[in-house]
Amino acid sequence: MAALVVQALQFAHGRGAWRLGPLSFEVARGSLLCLLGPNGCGKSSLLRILARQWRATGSVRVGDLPQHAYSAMGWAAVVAYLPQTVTIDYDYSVEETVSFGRYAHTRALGFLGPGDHAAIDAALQATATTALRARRLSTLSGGERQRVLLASVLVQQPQILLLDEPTTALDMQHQVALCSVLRQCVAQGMTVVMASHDLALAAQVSDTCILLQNGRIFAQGTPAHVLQEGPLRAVYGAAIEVLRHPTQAYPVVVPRMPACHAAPPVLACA
Amino acid sequence: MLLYGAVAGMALVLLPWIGPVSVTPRGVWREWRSAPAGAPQRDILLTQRMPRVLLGVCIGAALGMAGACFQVLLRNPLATPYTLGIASAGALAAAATLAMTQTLTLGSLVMTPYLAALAGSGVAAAGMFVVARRLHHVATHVLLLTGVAVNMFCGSALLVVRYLVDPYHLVTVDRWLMGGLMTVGCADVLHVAPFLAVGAGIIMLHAHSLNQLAFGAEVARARGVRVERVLLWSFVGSVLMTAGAVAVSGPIGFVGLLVPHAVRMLSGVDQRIVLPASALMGGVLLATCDALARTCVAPTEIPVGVITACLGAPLFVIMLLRRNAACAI
Repeated sequence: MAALVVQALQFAHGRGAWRLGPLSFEVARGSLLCLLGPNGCGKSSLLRILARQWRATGSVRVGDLPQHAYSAMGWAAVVAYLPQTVTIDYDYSVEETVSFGRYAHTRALGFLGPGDHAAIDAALQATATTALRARRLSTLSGGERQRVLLASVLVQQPQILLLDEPTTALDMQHQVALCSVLRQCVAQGMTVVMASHDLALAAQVSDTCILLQNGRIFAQGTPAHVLQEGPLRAVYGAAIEVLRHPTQAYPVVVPRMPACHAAPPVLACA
Repeated sequence: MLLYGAVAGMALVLLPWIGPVSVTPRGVWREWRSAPAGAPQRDILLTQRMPRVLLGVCIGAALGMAGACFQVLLRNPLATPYTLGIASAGALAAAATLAMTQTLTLGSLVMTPYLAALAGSGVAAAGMFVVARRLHHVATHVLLLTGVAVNMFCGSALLVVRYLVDPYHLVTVDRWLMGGLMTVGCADVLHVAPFLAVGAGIIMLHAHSLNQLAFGAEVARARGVRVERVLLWSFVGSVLMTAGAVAVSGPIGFVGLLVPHAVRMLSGVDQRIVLPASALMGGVLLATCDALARTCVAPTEIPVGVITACLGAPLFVIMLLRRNAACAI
């Protein structure tokens, strides 16, 4: 059954020439969809529309209801969204930051109940940030901050999670940890839609991929279907090699660099 | 919060006893018991000092809380109740009224400086909000830029009023613009208290949503906050408090800037604490500055706005230096 159904979605910035769509696709409940494509192809715009931040023409249905039939609180209890960049004005503690994600579940003034505390503990544990809970955001590294922000959306306990390039600031260890958290969420029935530039990660973690070019869908399907040399070269305009992993079933995407090591040095040392 | 409440309570109890004329508990008690025809200490305490301290606490509370709220709404740590020109518009209207005849009669409506200031602030705030909404769904940066333009316009118009007014009225206008809490009886307290109560109530209802706004409108909306509604009501609450305070006391600087920063340094950045604590500390600061204003060069009195500015500027710099030192460690 589809958790998210998008039909004939179209969006344009003012009177500009750039348009997103028309797009039509479905995301199955309990699956992970990766939105792929070069800079400016419309990944973040699509996520913002799915997250109800921007209005577009066409239809987006979540569960049985159109997107705009939900109340603000009802929407936040169903769909969580983490944008690419989050600017935070004040130096909140990690625990405060995560607890604010419970806004849709708490009453006036946001006082927390036992269920909220349990959800906060679980989100901190899932993102390996329990040890940071008393720290201020200003004292965290970029990767730690990103994990705390991820915890603040997990704590919403949504049915659908929309993430815009969540692995950007993470080192390899925490990328792997994040992916395993997302796969656990998917295994528990959550639907994840994630924009990413990391094709290797998308190949391993996603159930389906959508490859966007100039605001339109160029290819969609399983990673093995989408991540092929032909579509990737056409969309990214670069030499890309797709290998088979020696032991696993997923493709390994490798950019083919110009033969820089073989070329003679441009600058000679004095 | 209990500590802030205790400090505010102590200020309310202690500050009425400070002033150029000696008033002691023993003296007031003696006069109360004997009930003579003339009871100077009791009269000074009940009709002058206590209303004045209460007025200082109310005005300071309004400015402190409005300052804290504007800093969150505009996402700007330098925002004050005066940044958006609401106070300037009120001051302009009041100064124009004072410059003409002290009271201006429009049909059956007698326009006092108090009413003029309220009307000026209200018109400026409504106009600003309409412009911001028309341009960009009440984006904070549009609100800020519109407010700065209103502020500059009102500043220039005030200069014109001061240039045109006769010297006798110019003194009155200038004294009003310096800000002061000179009051007899509780009339002024009753003029500002409803604005403080309603404004503070509205803002406190949205305190937790204001926490979410500190993460940006996108994140706040994704967490279930109705961002435009929170911006509108918090703006209305802040405008009510600022307009009420300025209409009674004139513009008093630095309270709305200094107090929220001091509270954040002491108690963290959760708006559910910062907003009420800023109100309490704003009240304490202004009432204390007023006690200083009426005693430091007694029997002459210095306008309290001068004291808050003289104390506020160096205190603000010291706070910034301390915070930077703490960050460096």
